[in-house]
Amino acid sequence: MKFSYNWLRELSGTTKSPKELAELIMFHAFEVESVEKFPHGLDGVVVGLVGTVEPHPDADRLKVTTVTTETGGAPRTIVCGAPNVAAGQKVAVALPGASLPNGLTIKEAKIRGVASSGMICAEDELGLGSDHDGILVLPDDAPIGIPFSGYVGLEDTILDVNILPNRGCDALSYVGLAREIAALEGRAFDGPVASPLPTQEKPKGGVTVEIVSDRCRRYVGILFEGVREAVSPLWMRAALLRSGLRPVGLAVDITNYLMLLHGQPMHAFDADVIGKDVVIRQAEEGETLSLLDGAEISLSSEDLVIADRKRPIALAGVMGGDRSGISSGTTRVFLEIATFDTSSVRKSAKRHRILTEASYRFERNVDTGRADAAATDAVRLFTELCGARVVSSSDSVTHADVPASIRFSPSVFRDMFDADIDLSDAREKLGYLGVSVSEDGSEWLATVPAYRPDLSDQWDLAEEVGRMIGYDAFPARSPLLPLVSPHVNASVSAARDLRRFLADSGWDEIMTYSFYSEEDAHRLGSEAYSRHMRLSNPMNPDQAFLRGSLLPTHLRKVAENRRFLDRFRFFELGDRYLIGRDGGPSEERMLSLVAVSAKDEKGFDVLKGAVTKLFAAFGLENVDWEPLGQGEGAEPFFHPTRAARLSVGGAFLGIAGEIAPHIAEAYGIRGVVYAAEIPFDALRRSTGEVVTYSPLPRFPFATRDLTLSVSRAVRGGDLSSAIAEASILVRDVRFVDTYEKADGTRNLTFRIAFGHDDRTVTGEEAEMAVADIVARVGERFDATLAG
Amino acid sequence: MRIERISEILEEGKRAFSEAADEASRSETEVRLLGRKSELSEILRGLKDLSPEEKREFGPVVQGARRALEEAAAAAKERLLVEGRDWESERIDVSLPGADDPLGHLHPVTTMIREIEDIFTRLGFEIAEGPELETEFYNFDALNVPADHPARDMQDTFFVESDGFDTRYLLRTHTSPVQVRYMETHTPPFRIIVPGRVFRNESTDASHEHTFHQFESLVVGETGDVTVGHFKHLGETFFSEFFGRHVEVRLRPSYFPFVEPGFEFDISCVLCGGAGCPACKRTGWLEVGGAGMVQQKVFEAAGYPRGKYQGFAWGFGLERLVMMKRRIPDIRLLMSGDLRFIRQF
Repeated sequence: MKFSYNWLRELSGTTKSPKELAELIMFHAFEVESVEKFPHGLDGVVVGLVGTVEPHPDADRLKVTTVTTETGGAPRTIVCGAPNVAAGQKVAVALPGASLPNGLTIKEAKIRGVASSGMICAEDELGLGSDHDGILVLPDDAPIGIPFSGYVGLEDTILDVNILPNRGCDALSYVGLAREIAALEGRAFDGPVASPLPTQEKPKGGVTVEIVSDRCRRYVGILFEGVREAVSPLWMRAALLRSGLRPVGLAVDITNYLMLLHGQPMHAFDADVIGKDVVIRQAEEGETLSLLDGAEISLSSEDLVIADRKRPIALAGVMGGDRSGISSGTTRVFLEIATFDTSSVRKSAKRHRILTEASYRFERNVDTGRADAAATDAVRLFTELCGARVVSSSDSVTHADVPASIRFSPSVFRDMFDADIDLSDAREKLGYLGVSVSEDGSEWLATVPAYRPDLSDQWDLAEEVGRMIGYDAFPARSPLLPLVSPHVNASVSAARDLRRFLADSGWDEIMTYSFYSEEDAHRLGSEAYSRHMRLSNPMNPDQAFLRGSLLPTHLRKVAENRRFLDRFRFFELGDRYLIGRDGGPSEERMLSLVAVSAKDEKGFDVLKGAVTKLFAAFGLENVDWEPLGQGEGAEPFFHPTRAARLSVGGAFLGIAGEIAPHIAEAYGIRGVVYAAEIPFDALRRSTGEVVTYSPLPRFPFATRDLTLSVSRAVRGGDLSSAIAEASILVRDVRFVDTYEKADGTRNLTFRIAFGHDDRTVTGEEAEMAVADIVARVGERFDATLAG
Repeated sequence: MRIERISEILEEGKRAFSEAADEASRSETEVRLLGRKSELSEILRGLKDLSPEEKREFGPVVQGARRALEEAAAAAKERLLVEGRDWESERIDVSLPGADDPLGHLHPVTTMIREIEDIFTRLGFEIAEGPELETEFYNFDALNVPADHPARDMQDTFFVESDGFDTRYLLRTHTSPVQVRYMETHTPPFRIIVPGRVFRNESTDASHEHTFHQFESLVVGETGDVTVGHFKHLGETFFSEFFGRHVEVRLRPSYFPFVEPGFEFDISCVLCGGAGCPACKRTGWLEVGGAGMVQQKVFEAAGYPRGKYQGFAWGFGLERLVMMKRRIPDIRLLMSGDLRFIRQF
């Protein structure tokens, strides 16, 4: 809330400068977002006295005036077009050089041949209202030559204080913040004084009020007649402007002014429109109300409304209806000073998406007590400024807020702050805030005023004392905690190892959003699509779905990076979100690896090599790479014949291979992309068993290269396993090369190591073993020894 | 007499080896001086005919001379190998890059999380984690942010359409839900840190991102054992370690529903040390995060009895620190996936 320094100073009695005051508030109560001069934009505007007014020689509508803008100084000539300018008036004069709030810069000028040195200003030119019918005429006692801004009270500093939700009840008002300031400076604060409402209830011609919903705690209604709706006095307009509110007209300005002062929202109805009976009730489902801002809303039975006999006239605590609003012809005003339920107002404001100064305050709680002083001030201002008389008033209370009691041990202060706190000082400080404390044996009994509903227990009170003393007063101390060896979070450690390993192996780490578009979700296939979750309030449609895979966004990143780089590999370790088998949300951490290789590289080999090394680093050997295929078992993002489902011992380890070309193209990628998506938990499958020593081979191995010619349907992996099992002398089988032949077969070359535990394998034995292998494998796979 | 001769042979041999201009002449010298027919071999062979006294006198001298000559021959061989090679013809350009096996780069946020985790684990903290897809209960209700309370508006939330679920889900707006999750299964005293990705439904610009990372720390003990002063100490210890210079913590009153009292905490500016500079807007202080003493209602939500325990919680956004440390002008770069950016770190 924007607070006027001058107004706060007047109410609180502080003698601090704006900056000092801001510091006091900052370190003991609230964050002060800014301390700035009020930008009145009226530099160079001074109070002047109109001396003479003559007709302009060359223009019927213009007048040539002389205006004194300096005591004892020579009058200046100003050409003025206003119909109401007259000799002897005190006026606001913009001197040459002044820049006005409406953007106009004043210069020495010749107007129709007459030199004019300045401008006599109308209200709208001064930013004080919309009136442009004539110049603003000031009271006769306005001193000549003084700055106009200072004269009307706009010479001020504005403190923008961030009042957080817990203190909305008291501190979203000048009275509340002034009380806080006085308390922080160690003074008791004299709160506003209330007088009894002036007339009896329900006289002839009065308005009756009935509350039929418990969501209205109190309703004070005052009927005024003889209201002269007019422009508010300058001081009031200046007060509203300085707090960031726009003056609109006297009756509404009074309600706004008192809302700022007391934190009590009010609403003024045109009494001639609403009739004699006012009821506060729940709306009927589907009832409509057109609001002051012109919007027509359809009400819910959860909405609390103010209604006359026929229909709703206001959405309680949020906004009034336009039909019953104050207009220039209003002479009878029904003024509402009410207390509504916080969550009811909040729900209505949210439901209809309306945030007003009133709803903002009601949401944060307004206690029932403050209506008294607010009503007293309202009667005074309506009487004094509008010439109004009170016809009737009523005060209906369904639930009055009462002071709360907190019984506690003052040891809470020491427990909290670990410092010696003078208990009588603590008690005094609480007293300044309006919290009275009595002692009951070793315990304290605190009585908390209703305007501080945020104080509900001893820790709340400890906070009040602590912040009033100032947190700087409590020294930093080392805690004495038991020596415990912290439990090592295995998941965190594994993630660390994984990231480090990948970066060391040449993968760059990226982080991407957890959302993507519906289209992305669709591309993952209908089964996966149906398991996606959607945001109810996305930033934009492209980010409406929670990602069920990291790949879609990663492919987008491939396309983006391809613009600058032709070879790269990156990874992300991040969560994906899908509806689980049990129908509830499930979140799974995934590792996504994406590689774009140079043209001369065998991209799949590079990926498989990297993935195999990664698994090995995590203790996973002999990973099975099962071809994906089409139809059943297909993975929509992967190439059906160039990708594999990975597993070890039957446990799923992820998918790896080439991205399907049509998918790559859909993401704007020209060229081939390789990727792997591996559940992070799969990497943590290794049993972690301690590896024990195996005796080193004592005799050298004999190696032989074996090239077999097989049909393309034969999987090299199967062939390799078969070779390993074909002879007990085989110690190692390593794939060397493959050669595709024109006849649809291919040659596969393996390097086989033969060994024996007790002696050196002879050449003859090795040859026999090779022959053995060729015989067995040849039979099983229809493989022949390549020529 | 023979001793002098041996010295002569040795001197001559050394000279001959050192003067040998090529392998042929060196080899010739070797045969001449050390070969079977050489004078030295003759003398060696003749040693067996000497008396024991003479053997004792001449033996070591002759053997020594032979070893010295053998060494000279070997040295000459190595010298000729070096001198005789056309090194220039073998020149390669060592300034060209090596085989393409680049080092990958960790994301700067990852690097910072590690740094921070390392400091805290040295201080005996445990690392806890929790889900990003969180329930309304853990994100708000359990943290004393009731439904229909304006405090909910303090954090713009991404809600997940939850028809068909047993409760309403959202993307966590902070790492604090992990407080309650952890406390449900642990009993004080403990000290934990919680790093993690969090979300706020806010428009992005150079200094705002709807997806970012937070770091949270929670220390709980018996009432009176963990105080505001202890929080200040931990804050100062951590940030001093983190920035490698003495850092002071300053607390200002604030409000977060899950703490009581609540603080904004500032640290003395790590660039100017508090003197005032552009980074701290000449205040000498940097706003870092929020903190406070754990609300008893949060303990109650976790199943702890009211008033038995006391503790503090504090958290801060990581991106701001990363940006400060790495001088990154636009927060959106961090989630951009732009490898030209990542490869800088």
